[in-house]
Amino acid sequence: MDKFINGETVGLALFIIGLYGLIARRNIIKTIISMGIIQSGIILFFLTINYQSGAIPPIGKDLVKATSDPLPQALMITAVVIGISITAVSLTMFITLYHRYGTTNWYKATKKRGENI
Amino acid sequence: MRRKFIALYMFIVFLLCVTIHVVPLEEATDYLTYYVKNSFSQTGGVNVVTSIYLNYRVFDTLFETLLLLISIIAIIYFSRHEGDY
Repeated sequence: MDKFINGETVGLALFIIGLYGLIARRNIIKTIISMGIIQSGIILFFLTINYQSGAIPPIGKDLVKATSDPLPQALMITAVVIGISITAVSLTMFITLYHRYGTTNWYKATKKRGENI
Repeated sequence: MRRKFIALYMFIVFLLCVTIHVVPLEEATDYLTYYVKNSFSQTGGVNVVTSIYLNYRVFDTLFETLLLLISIIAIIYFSRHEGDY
């Protein structure tokens, strides 16, 4: 275990922290924040997954040195846009739900809707 | 108490994910070399990321913009209440 703290480990830790926030907390705002943390962890994990020391950016015609991986970079642009869309829609739905039921708790909102959990 | 159990379980999951290597990185290098070698001759783009983004996976980009449009429609739909909450 030469270098323990690298991008992959930190990305995994961010993912697990966000998953803990999703499971253990019952606040809707904290759920949305946890989803943002999970997205950050996934993006960091994919950007640093194939890292080689001394790699150059993949720009140029005849590349002979080792370059960084271009495929996760291109995919993570998509992931950033999807994350922003998900956060925006979630916050808008939360505003409507808070105005209607007056609570930020999942179970209280479910109880006020009259549904069984 | 429940949160502590969940935190402990998540820590164990994290340790398992760190210690067990799940991604075979040796196979992933083939795609890297393919894209780096053939991107200029196939697409004409100097930047490999731009070649992937706009040529190899252009439908990804296309449906991403479609998803952005749908999310904007959803935000406008959820924002109009017309008086009743």
